[in-house]
Amino acid sequence: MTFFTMAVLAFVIIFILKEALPVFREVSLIEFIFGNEWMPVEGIGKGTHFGIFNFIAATVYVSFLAMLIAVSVGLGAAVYLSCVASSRARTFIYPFIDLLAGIPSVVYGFIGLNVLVRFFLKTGVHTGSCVLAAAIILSVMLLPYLVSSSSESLLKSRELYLKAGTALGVDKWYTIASVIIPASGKSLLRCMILAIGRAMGETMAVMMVIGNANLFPTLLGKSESIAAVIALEMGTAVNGSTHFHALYAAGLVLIVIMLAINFGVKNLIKKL
Amino acid sequence: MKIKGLLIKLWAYMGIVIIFMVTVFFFAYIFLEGHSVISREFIFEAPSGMVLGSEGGIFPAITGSLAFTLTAVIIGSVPAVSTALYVVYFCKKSRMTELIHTVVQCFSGIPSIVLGLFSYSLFVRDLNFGRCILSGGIALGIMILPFIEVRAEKTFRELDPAMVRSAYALGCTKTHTIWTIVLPACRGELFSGIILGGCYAMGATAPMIFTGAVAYAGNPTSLFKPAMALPLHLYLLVAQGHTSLDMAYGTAFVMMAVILFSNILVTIYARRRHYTWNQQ
Amino acid sequence: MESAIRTEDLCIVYGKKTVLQGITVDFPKNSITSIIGPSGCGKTTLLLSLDDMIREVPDAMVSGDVYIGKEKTSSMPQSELRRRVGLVFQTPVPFPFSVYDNLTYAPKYYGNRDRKNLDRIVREKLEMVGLYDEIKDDLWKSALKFSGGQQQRICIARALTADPDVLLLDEPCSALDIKSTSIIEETLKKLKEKYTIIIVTHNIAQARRLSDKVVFLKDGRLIEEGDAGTFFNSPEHPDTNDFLGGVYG
Repeated sequence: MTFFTMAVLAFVIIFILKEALPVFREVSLIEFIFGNEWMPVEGIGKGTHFGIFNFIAATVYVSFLAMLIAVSVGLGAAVYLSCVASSRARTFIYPFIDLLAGIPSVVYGFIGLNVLVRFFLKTGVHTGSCVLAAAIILSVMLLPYLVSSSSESLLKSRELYLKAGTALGVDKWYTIASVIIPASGKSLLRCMILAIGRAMGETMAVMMVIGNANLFPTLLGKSESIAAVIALEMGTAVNGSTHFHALYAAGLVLIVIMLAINFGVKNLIKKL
Repeated sequence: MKIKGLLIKLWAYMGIVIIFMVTVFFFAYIFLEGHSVISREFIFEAPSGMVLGSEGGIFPAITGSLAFTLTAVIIGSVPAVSTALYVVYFCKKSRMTELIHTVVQCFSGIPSIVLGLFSYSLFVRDLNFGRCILSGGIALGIMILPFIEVRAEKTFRELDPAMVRSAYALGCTKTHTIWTIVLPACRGELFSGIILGGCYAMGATAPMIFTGAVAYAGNPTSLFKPAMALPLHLYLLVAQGHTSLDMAYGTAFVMMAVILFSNILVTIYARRRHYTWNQQ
Repeated sequence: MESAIRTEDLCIVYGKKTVLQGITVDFPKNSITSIIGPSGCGKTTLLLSLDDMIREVPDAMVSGDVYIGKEKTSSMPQSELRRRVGLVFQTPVPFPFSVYDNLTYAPKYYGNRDRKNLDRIVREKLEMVGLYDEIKDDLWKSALKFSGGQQQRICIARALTADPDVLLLDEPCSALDIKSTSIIEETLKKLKEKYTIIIVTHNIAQARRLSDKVVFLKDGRLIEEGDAGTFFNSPEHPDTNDFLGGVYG
């Protein structure tokens, strides 16, 4: 059964490769990645263009922004959960956080659309859809993953060091700041990487609030992520056309970026 | 250096309060806006109206979502649990374990939309299934496979190895031990993992947009027919703009209620088992 | 004395780390043999290799032979071997069902379905560990609800239900209090009339109280073995002397 599972998984990867590669017969790799014109269907005398640079930039930009927001809130909460809350309180709070993880992404997008986008519209952003809105919604989606994984690793180092720290007569909070957080730095980094992966692959919630326009991302401007492009154009792309293969290739690029970050950081952690 | 500690303290309390508020806000918002739409007709009738969904209910979407989720859970959980069993109890080379972990990790990294794309071209196009519950269910199943595998493996590793070895020491084969000791002892955790995986599948839209879910269909009758699904229905209602906003809130309400209910179920179940286990 | 189980030039390697090196030792029948030594010396590994449980450890490589009586264990079916050698672990690990189901788990597996027969086995084995009178009214209660000492005795009784010749115990008392420890020690002394007992312990006093023979390991090598009286009173090797004197360990 395991080998069957592994075979299926390997098959999926090969299939994606096979579907993605033909696009490079028509468009060079460099043009595909660094080009910023995306014109999949021939317009009036303009020809077709496949350049996904803006989409890549948007994906990375949104994900890191979301990460930044999520870390600033989530790490605090993780510290609370691991070092302040009693184990009884923890058994109540963890399911609560799981609940946040269970909310479907469409609902996130829906709330984002009805609350955040309206808010931005009022504050004067044109149409309200913007990268910042997407990042905020995304950061809420990341929170549960970030909090539960990082509080777990903080908990481990707390058990190791907190008693030793307080036995020295040092203030508990000082021990947390100066020993416990630095000691679990590596595993916290690992948690963040996992969260980044999730952020990059997220489709619906981002698609619903980011505005979907092929522009280089700016904080309050519209943009479009790789996942959104695939979701929006998959239905209209003609089977076997360059457009179709290009969508696959975009998916491949997304996977490659995620894996590269993942393994890059893993090796970095090993070297530290 | 007292300041440093104080800042951390402030940060910690703020973090937890913000999370608490956000969660409450999400549920409260949807429940407050959505509860007025909920009625018997809304739950048990098919959508209708000039613009589809602006009147009527969402019954086919509920049953459709159930069908997708069930298919996904069956397709995803069986290989996931057996992989976890293999890794923990049969695999004797740590290299092999590492390899499997890497593959599973790569998989949890594949964005769900790419899985949808994959299922679309393989099942809908190449194998000619057409848009149907099976194609969508497979995409969702592959999506939740790593999710369940990781949880199942963690559960198996946390089971005291001495208990398993005690059964081996009595001369029992591995298969017998797994059926009579390991699976019963881990039942609760496996069950929660699968339920949460199911919730995850139910809420996912991206993998089924083009593989199985459609804007309008009757109740699902066969694996080879398309069906409606709650998240896609919500997305389409939102896309239609203001005419169907109320209905959108209602749909979101139903989804949130299902999520809340299953989470409570899992929590209570897990806690009760935890309790009986620790009682000496 | 006749040997019940015996190893010949046993070497065990975990990945690249050698844990046991050329161990040749025999364990005499109907007696208690203690394996002692500083932590990390390979005591538990030696015990596990007698039951072939070592195969369950990832990346473990085994060379050398183990004999039960005159038979080589490597040419024996694994379940046969494990049936003839019982194993009890450091922490009590009853299966999460009732006492009765714990004790009938192995007999049922070997095809014993007759209710009267099973009742007899349960009673007999519980009497052997001196537990029958204590818990005879609670046989259907979850085994997890008993005290640590009782749980460990249930585990010993469970190991006996497979009718082994040899009983292996891996620090069976280290998780228990003094009173439970002494009850278990008494039980073991009684059991040696029927079984061959091999016990790993880090408690020198316990080894002195219990054993007929002692095997001393250090850094994966066999340093000294011998009759308990001679071993404790006049050890030959300086390392043994240091160990008993509490220099390390």
